[in-house]
Amino acid sequence: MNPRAVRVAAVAGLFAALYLMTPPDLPLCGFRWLTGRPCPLCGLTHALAAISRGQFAEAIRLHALSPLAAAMLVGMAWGHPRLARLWAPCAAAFAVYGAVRMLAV
Amino acid sequence: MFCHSCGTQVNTGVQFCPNCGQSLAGPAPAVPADVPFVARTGITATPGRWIGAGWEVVKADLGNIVLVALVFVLLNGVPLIQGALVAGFHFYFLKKLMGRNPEFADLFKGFNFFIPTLVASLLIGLFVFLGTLLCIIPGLVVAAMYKFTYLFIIDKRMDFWPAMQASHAVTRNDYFGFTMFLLLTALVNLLGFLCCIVGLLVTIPLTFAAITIAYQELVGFDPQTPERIA
Repeated sequence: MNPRAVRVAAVAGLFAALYLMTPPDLPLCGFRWLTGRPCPLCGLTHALAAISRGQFAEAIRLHALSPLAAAMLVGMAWGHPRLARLWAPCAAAFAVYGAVRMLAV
Repeated sequence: MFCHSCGTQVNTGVQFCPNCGQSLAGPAPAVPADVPFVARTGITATPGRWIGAGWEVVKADLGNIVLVALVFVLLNGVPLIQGALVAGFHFYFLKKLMGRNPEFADLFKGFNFFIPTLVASLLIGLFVFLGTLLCIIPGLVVAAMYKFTYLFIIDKRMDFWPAMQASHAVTRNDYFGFTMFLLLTALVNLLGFLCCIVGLLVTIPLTFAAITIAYQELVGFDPQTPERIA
C-alpha cells in the first residue's frame, strides 16, 4: 500500500468521522479534571467536528486555533519534509493561546 | 567473546587480549557518544509494512518468542525493571534480524544497561503522563517519539538523554506517521488482549519486532552489537 494514500485516507477518515458523529462530552482531559481550567487543546475535537460541517464561527468559538489544527492535519497527510520545521512554531502557537485562555476564561 | 579494541576472538574470562593487550576486565571504553546523532532527512513512517515484517519474524520462531514474552509479561509486574526488559526484548530481535541465534538469556541483556534504561523509562513515562494530561493526544505523540530510545541505548551505547534525543530526531519529520505506528501496534495489542489475553504473548513481541525492524531500516544496526553484549 502506498504510504501517502494511507495517510490521506487516515486524515480523510478522521474528518468523515467528525462530520458523521457528534463527539460525546467525555471528561477525558486530565488537566481540566485536576485544575478546572481548559488545557491548551480542550475543545479541539468539537471545533474540528464543527469545521468538518463548515461551521467556522462555532469552531473558532470552541477553539480559536482550530483552523490551524485542521491545516496541520492536512499538512500531515501531505507529509512533505519541508513542513517538518513548521510543527514547532505551530505547537508554540497552541501553547501561547492555551496559556492566555487558561488565565482568561 | 571478542576483544572490543581489536576485534580478535578470545576465550571468555581472559583478562587481557592476547593480540593487542587491551584489558578485557572492565567495561568497554565509551564510544564518542557526545557527537549528537543526526537522522537522515525525509524519514517517513510505514507502519503497515513494519508490522507485517514484524509478524513474519515472530511467526518464524513462534514457540521461543511466546516463551520469552511470557517471562517478559510476568516480570513486568516487578517495579523499575521494565526499561531493562524492553531493551532486552529489542536486543533479542536485533540479534534475530542480524541473522544470529538469539537465546532466552538475551531478554536479560538489557540489565547491562540498567541505569540508562531505568532513567529513560521513568522520564518517558513522566513525559507521556504530562502529555496525556493535555487532552490525551499529546501523550500519544510523545510515546511515539521515544519508541527507539531503548534501541539507541543498547545498539549505540548512548546514555538515556542522547538516546531520547536521537529517537526524537528519527521521528521528528513525521510525527503523524509514527503516531499512527503507535496506534496500530496498540490496536494489534488490543486484539491480542481480546483473544483471551494470551494473544498478547504474540502481539507484544510483534510490537517489539516491528519497532526493531523500523530502527534497522531508518538507523541501521551497529555490526558489533551482538558480540559486544554477548
